[in-house]
Amino acid sequence: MTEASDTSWKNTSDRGSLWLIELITWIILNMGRRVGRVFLYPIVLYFILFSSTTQFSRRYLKRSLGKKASFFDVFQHYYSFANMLLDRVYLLSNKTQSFDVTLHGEEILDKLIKKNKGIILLGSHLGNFDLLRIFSKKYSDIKVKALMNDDNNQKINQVFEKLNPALKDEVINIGRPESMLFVKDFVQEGNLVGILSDRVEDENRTVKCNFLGQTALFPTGPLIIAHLIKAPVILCFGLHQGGNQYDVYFHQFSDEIILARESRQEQLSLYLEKYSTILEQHCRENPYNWYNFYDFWKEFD
Amino acid sequence: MNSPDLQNQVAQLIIDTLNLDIEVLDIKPEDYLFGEGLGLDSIDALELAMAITNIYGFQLRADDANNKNIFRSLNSLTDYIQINRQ
Repeated sequence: MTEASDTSWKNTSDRGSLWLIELITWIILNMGRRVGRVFLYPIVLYFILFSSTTQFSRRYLKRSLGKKASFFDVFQHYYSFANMLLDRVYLLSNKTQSFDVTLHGEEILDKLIKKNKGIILLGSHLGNFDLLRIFSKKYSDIKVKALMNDDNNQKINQVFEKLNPALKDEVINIGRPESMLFVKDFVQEGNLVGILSDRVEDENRTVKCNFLGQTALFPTGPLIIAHLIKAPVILCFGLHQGGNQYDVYFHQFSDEIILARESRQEQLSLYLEKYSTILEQHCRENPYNWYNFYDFWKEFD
Repeated sequence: MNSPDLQNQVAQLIIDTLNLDIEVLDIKPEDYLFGEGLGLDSIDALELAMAITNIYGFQLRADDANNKNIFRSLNSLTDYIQINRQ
């Protein structure tokens, strides 16, 4: 993956929210969650008024809500984002008891864990993937790691690592030649690797999918990895329903990703259409859980 | 110094495994395989490592501290295969 590849989320989405995370972390750690939630209102309001990303929020909301987004919609969208950061701080400080989680399709995960063959778990920036921490405690025989590009969000990760020093060991960085060899060994030992697979890392590894009414690029890398190491794939979305309520959905995706060299792109397209269709359905049901505040459909180029 | 035959064989393996639209002679022995140069990524490395295991009968290890040097160029990869092939 070349560093020069143009992936707009790296420029806008997370960098702009760094001060927001630092502020929220400070408030929670010093004033508690209840007070923290109250503080979110003025913080979010300020963020909306001065952020350059609201145009992306409006575009997304128009697609997922099926109508023009009002100021209240945009506010709810950013509030949900700020609240997710707040909850992440909680999850990373291992205060998992403060959440009320309803599971849907947990048996899909259960069954695969019992087979001890390892799992690739695909998530997205819809909802809060850190809820997985609650499960990794429950399934103490397997280890869980996240595959991600650690270099991009270094400052954010520094904030989170301060909260939870063990976090560094839970991340596999994609940037080294041996990264995927590590993923292979780790999964084939029966463990689980989670990947957020809605953001493009490298435009050479993408396919076009219809998503919320218009073509968008989706990354093929996660599925190619699953194919190469012959790991079963399930999807997972942790969606916030307000307060301390979360719904976590598991979807059976594929027992084995089968790709032929000569028609790899076409087959990846079919798999990712399936992924984006399920993602789209959750977006329509929980529109404000979407945390990709950048030009997702590349409409602004 | 590795054998030119093996070096060509490894270059061909890279091209075939990764479905690259180039010729053996396009891969210069000292060019970087990753990032600038051939522009491979860590998924390519996994695919390549698995092909090497199939053909030369040994495993490339994730925890080898020397991976960066092994995967640096066609030359370094060929050297490594020459020493470890079974």
